[in-house]
This record gives sequence, structure tokens and C-alpha cells, in this order.
Amino acid sequence: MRIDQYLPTLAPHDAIGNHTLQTRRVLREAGYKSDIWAEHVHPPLGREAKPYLDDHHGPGEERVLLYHSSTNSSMARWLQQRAQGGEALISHYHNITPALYFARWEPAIASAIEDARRELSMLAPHIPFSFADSGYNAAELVECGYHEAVVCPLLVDLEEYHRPPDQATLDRLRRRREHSGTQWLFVGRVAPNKCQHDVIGAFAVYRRVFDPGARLTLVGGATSPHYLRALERMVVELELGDSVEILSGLGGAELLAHWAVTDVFVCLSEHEGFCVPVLEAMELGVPVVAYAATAVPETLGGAGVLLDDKDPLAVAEAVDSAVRPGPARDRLVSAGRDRAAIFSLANTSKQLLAGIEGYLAS
Amino acid sequence: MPNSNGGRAPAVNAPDLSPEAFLYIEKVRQTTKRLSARERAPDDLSGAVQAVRDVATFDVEVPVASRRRELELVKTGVKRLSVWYMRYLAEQLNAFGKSVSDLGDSLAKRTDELASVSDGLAVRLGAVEERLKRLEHVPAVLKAVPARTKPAPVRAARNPSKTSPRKAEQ
Repeated sequence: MRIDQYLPTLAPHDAIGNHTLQTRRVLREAGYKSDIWAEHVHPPLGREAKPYLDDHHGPGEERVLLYHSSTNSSMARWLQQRAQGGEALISHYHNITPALYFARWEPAIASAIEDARRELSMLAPHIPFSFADSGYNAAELVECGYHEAVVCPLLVDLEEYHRPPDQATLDRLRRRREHSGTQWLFVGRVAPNKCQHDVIGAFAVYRRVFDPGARLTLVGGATSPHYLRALERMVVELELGDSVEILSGLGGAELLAHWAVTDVFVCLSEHEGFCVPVLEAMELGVPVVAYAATAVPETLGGAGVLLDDKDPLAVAEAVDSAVRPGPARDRLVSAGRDRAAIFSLANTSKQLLAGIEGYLAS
Repeated sequence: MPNSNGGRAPAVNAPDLSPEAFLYIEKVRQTTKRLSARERAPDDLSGAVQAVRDVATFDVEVPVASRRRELELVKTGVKRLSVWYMRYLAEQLNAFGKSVSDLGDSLAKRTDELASVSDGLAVRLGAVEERLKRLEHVPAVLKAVPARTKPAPVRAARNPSKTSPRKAEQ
């Protein structure tokens, strides 16, 4: 039996890319033949996937095609034709950000997102079984016309976060830390749905009201360069000087150095299908303050401070309480670690395999 | 405030803040609001004007950052050589953008006023129609009255002081 995976882009340091590689490992360990087929493969992972148009397996073969759906791709129509030709097609839905967030900043991306939504609906009649990263994603799939969606969180190797951080970066950050106050962190692509502007706003108020020495680090590549530019202008406008840094292209070890000096992870994102960085924070014992939107409350599972209001003063005050040493902070850290354990690779791998075998048995 | 049991953070108890701090917080609120995504109904004219205003500022401070040092130098050079030209264009575009959004504001205000007047007129028209219906109904009522109950034509009295119209009806 062969179970092949299809995804538009296989990229390093990408949650869906890592999940796909882990899924292949789980499938192969369970005795299935499994390959990855992609439309775009970033060079460091060139040997991990093949161009999907080179896939010449025929419909006669005993095979399941597992499509990772998160963006638009010419692959969707190709898979539809395969399904119409009698091949078994299933999917894993990682969510598609609403176009509303990009319409103002990146109209081309907004248009691509609308295409992705149309493709999602187009494939619905051909997909009898789907995985979804969260209950939120599963509900969205069913609403879109899919028959069944089983929740299976992203496969994340949490052990990776316990490797040694980059020493040079860590030393530099620790030296800086001696002369500064509370360290805020948010990790995620610079994109309007992630609302980094709200994080900067709350941080500005926090610095003014609670801790003038505080620092904020935003880590993530820019999905929207125009939004990034607006964030940079906002930092100047709010007179935050060099207390805010926006970093991209960090390696895993460098990012771990940033986590090591972080006091609080602040996520004010309005749209997340799962939110891996929340999981990272919990695993690393960093308290989480987050806006209760989409799948974030589900991933956090009560192990952090959830906010219904993004008013900068409300967020600043929540952060102040979360970082203050004491039993409340200790409870947050401990609850976070317990919650992260639920998403251990062993647990999620079992969930994935059970889902696959349930589908095959049916 | 921290809550490890899945509850939501309670309402804010604002610390004692100086007037300057309040002003700064208000500025932050306005700035974040400006960058937030807004869902807009297709007929929301004010929202459309705001969307124009959001994108009506043209930035001449072109980003020059690059992972490659030589590319950053080239970008910086091009920026310095062309900034006077870009600024000249941007000033005109910004003025144009402002005029367009001001025009949109005026149109939105005027449309709101007209909508309000139109609503008032609709109410008044309804009342007039109702009254007209009632008036149209009166002759029908009169036609429906049986002939014997019709009031007898009143003859002109030779001596009005002796024969009143009421007596004539009887």
C-alpha cells in the first residue's frame, strides 16, 4: 500500500513542511510506501520531494493521495482529475487565511486566497475523508461541504526545542538583557492576520505604563512587505526607538537563543488554524498571553492568559500580571508544559496513524 | 490576571495614569485601529472612504535592507539619487489622495443627509397616502347608505327663522 503526500510548497522552518516530513516518517515506519510531491521545493529540501507533474503512478495501483491544503495551487485541479480517474484522495486542512486581511496590503495575495477557497470547495465532492489541525479547521471544512474531518494536530517534534541555542546569539542577548527590562516575543510570519501592529501597540503602552526598559522581538519572514513597512513606521511614530526589533531568516538555534531570554509570548493574531508558536512557548516554559480568536484557545487549552479584548492597555496589564514572579506565573508555566505534552510527537503520530487506518478500514 | 484554568482575563483595572500617559495610550489606540482589518458591507460608503484614506499615503522612504551587503549599498545609492524626484511625485500623489478621501467624506455626508431627508419624506408620504385612502373611502360609505336613510333634500325655507334644516330632515 502506498500513501503519497502532495503539497504546494515544501520549505524549511515551515510548520506544514515539517508536518509533511514527519507524516512521511510515520507512514514509512508503519510499513506504507510514501513519497512527497510538491509544486515548489525550496533548495535545502530538494531531495525530500519531487515535482508533482513527474508523478506517473497509475490509477490501477493501490494508493491513497493525501493533499495538504493551505493555499492555492495548480495541483488542486490535477488532483481533482486524479480523483475523477478513480484514485483515492484524502486531505489535511491547515486553514486558509481570509482574503479580507490582505485586500488592503497585498491585493495579489488576497486574490490568490480567494482562488484557494474556490479550490477547497471544488475538491470537496472528491474527498471522502480529511484531517484538520484543529476543531476550528474541521468545522470550517464541514461548512465547506466536506463529508468528514478528523482532528489531528500538526506533527511537531518538541524535542527539537531542547537542543542547545546558538551560543554567540545567546551571549549577545544576555548582555543586552542586563540593561533592559521585560522581554516580549512573538513568532509568526509578518502578515496582517497575525496583527503584529496590535502587539507593538500593547508593547508601547506596557513600556509607558509598566516597564520603560521592556523590549519586543518579532520574528518572522514578511508575507506582506507593505504591512512590514507599516509596522516599521508605527515603531517610529510611537517613539519606540530600538526597543522593537523585527527579525527574519533566523536559524533554529538562533531562535532558541531568543526563546531563552523571553519573559512572555504575546499573540494577538486574529486568524490561526493551529498556531505552532503557542505550542513552542508552552513547551519552553514561557507564559503565553493571547487573544482568544479562531484556533488559539483550542491550542492553548487553558494554559495561558486568554483575552477577549485587544485594547493595548488591557493587553499590557495582562502581560504585567503574567510576568510578575510568583505562584500565578509558576502555574502558567507548569500548565503550559502539561498542555504541550499532549501534543508530543508520539501522541500526534498515533492520532495520525489511527486516522489513516480508520479511513482505510472504512 | 494570569489564569491557568482556561478562564478569560478579567476587565482591566487601569493603574493611576498621568494625563500624558492617557494621551499616549489614545494615540496608540488610533494607530492600531488604523492598521486593523475592517470588514465592510458592499454599501458601506464611509468604510469605502476610510479604505481610500488608508492607502492614500505614499511612502518615499523606500526600504533598502538586504541580506546581501552590496545589494543594500546599491539600493541606498539609487534611493539617494532618486529621492528628490520620488518626493516631488509623492507630495502630489498624497495631495491627490487627500482630496479624493475628502471628496468621499463630503459625498458620504451628503448621502447620509439625503438618506435622512428621504426617510422623513417617506414617513410623510405614508401619512398623506393614508389620509388620501380615508378620503377616497368617504363617498363609498355614502353610496352604501340605503336610500331611505338618505337625508331629504333641504328646501330653501321661505322663512328661515321658522323652519330650520333639522326640522326639514324630520
